[in-house]
Amino acid sequence: MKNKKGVIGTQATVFWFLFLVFILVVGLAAGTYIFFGSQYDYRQIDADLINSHIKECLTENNISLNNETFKQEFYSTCRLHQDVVEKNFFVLVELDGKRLYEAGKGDRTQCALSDKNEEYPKCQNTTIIKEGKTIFIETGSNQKSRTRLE
Amino acid sequence: MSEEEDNPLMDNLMFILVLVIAIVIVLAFVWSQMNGAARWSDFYVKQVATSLELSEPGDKIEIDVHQATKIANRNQQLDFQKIFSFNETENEICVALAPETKTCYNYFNDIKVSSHVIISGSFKDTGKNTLALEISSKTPEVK
Repeated sequence: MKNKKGVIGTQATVFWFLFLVFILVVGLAAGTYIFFGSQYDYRQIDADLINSHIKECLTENNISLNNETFKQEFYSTCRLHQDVVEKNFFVLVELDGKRLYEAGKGDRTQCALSDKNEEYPKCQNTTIIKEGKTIFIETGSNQKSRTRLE
Repeated sequence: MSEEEDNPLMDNLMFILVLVIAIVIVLAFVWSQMNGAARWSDFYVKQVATSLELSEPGDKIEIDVHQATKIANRNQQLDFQKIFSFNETENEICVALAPETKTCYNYFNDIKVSSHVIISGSFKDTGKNTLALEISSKTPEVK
């Protein structure tokens, strides 16, 4: 009989080798899945766009800054879809520091803390002066894409 | 000891083979994730929604959707005109790059997509497929 000593030879390392390959495959697969599995975050872009849209609308149109009629004029003149705004966005309009209109999910506290909590909406705010009055506009978006079966 | 038993390449052939198979599996997984319908549906639905949010009645928009058509083709979604759909009532756009599944997103701008069509090989003379949109007002314009 030949080679009595060290019969196992290099095959003894097979378990370590398979273990290392397993770690490599699982690690790379998990990293790839985490990177590509999450959605593109368009919430800040959405918040910026709706803010700019409202700012432009309030500046260029003569919307009555009156608590009772503002809501109706706001949606029709600014060409905003009310259901979409109330479901996916946050809109706050203040006139000289007093709330003129507020809609949607969220509030100013959530906007202020959006960097700390991923579940809070991403927000944007702007201030315009019209006819001597200060209009503060804060908008936010927490919309994510939805996958459905047809 | 025979010459065959001393050959280190033969000793390690199985290790090399297993390693190559593992690397191929990982690369295939990364490639499938990069080119998956879910990832690109999410990208296109948000891209088109952003374009609609910036649009006004009367605008005509052209968007390069070549990658979307390539993925739809690979997933047997052969009717390209069904890739993008618009729900006027809910202001919703949906993208379907694979059969029986679609990704949807709402846009706040209350406009109407009066026409949407995918034109083959027309994007800025690059030969890429284009999504052409025509935007109009939901309410008739008062003259």
